[in-house]
Amino acid sequence: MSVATAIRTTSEPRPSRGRALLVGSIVTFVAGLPTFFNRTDLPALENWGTIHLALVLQALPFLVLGVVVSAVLSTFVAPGAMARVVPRTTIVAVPVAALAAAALPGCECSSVPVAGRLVSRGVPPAAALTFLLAAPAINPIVLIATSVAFPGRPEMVAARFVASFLAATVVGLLWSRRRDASTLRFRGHEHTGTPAERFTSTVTHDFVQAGGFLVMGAAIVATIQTVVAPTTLQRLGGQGVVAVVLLSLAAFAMSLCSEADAFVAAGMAQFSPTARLAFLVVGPMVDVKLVLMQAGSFGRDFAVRFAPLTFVCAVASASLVGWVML
Amino acid sequence: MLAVGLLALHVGLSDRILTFLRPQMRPYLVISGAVLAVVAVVVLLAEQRVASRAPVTTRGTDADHGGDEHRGHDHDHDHDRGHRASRAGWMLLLPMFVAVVVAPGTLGAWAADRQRGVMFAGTYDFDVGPFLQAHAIAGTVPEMRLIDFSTAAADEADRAQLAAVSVQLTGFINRSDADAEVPDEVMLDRFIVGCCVADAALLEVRLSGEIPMELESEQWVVVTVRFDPEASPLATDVRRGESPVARVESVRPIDPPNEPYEYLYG
Repeated sequence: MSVATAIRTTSEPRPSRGRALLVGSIVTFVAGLPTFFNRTDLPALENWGTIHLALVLQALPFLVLGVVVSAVLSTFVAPGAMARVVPRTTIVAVPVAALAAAALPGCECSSVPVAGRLVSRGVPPAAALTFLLAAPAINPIVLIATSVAFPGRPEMVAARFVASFLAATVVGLLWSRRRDASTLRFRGHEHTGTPAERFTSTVTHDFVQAGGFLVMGAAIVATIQTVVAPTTLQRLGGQGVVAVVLLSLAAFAMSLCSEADAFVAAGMAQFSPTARLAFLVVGPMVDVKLVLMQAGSFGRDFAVRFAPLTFVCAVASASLVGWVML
Repeated sequence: MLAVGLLALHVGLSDRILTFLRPQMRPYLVISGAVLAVVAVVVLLAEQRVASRAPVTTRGTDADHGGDEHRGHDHDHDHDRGHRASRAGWMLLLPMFVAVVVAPGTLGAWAADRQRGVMFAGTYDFDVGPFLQAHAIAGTVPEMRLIDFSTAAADEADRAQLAAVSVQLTGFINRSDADAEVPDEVMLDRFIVGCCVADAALLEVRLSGEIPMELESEQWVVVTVRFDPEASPLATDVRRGESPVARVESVRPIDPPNEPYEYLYG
């Protein structure tokens, strides 16, 4: 497999053997898929390819938007300058960041590079992370899509907004209390040269970094969607807490775009409203695709610690809000 | 990156986009593809200039990598970072590989069979009365989307009106295997897409009556049908995965349409 060998030859000066191993094994796994499916089930491979390309192509415009915004910040805002405009105390900055996120009509894919760049421009990491979580969940487009998918159920839209806001804020505040909170580093770096040169090299660097991980995420999601039968969820069913956990895990694995998840949730009529709310709150904040992109932008150690925290907070927040409002 | 940009442009400017995404995404995909391609070319040209002015001697291996845009600005950064980024960046070639080698097509009978039982059962808003009335006045056979047909068919108030007229539906034929529970069932299938095909849901109508045997699975057809309320489930049963039944009056094979899916948003 030429792609796989190409990767291996480029990784000769291993700065981190574990990372090379991880990337290598994913690539080999993905590259091996065709051979596997060719022998067993050709439609499965085609299905995988269709979903993989669809995920990548769908995310591409949002990723490019995020990268361009990030590059504009990088080019025209001096490092650390944002520290002056952001509220000084974390307890204020975090909710403000969550509200600011509501105004960015982007998908999860644009918020990763933007949040990273905000950190390098002086925004407290906790606030930037809150922004990262809130942007895809509570922007107007997503809320409108939710109300279209749940006609006559405005409480679903309200509950989604409240639960997502709550979860994003809580994660931000919890993260700010970590001892190593301020050590979060965006793995993009500063470029030199004229503004135009800085702009193009930032776009290039951020895109290659986040895009590579996006492709990996899309490959994994496509594999899950192809291998796990869609009827599985229906068969498992479940009530109460089981249903909430089940749909939260489903949201994590399916990695749907936050504009489309409401209509999938609307179709899951056999699950309780609270479980469906959990599906809508967890999906935009933490899913396979997103965790990989975060690993790409902030490092794997960060993603490993941040994702479970987010998952737990999102599920808890959805359960609480669902219990009160639905 | 150039390759990804060009792939996005190619897909965006041809009808292949409709295999993957909803049509409204087209301008955004084209713009982002163009941005990527332009930036990639600018960066590559800048590198050429740098390379010709001061030949890079320390990074000989990079020459073998072809279009890796990282080569250019690695010279003012630590090698560690550049390498980590470019290794992830190689993954960007995977979509190209998939597009060429796998050449994925639209979702078809295989995907439909797997989704049976989780058909779209959202609370979609559709009022069949005015729709049919407009056609009755114009004297035309109503052409319905499967989503509208299924919604009206499951609605207690709307189904009588729907059963009163013949309507035209477009979709692909899906025959059950000979060893299936009920052999020789024929379905009319089409997927509905919210954002991209990763969230596609199946729409399905069970066809009764005469369907020519030469129409194989995945053959696209326009059928004129009459809804059969006796045999069709109400909304509560639809949620259990049962589909409406319609009696076929005529079948006309067609080429696969440009837009192979129905779309949830406009």
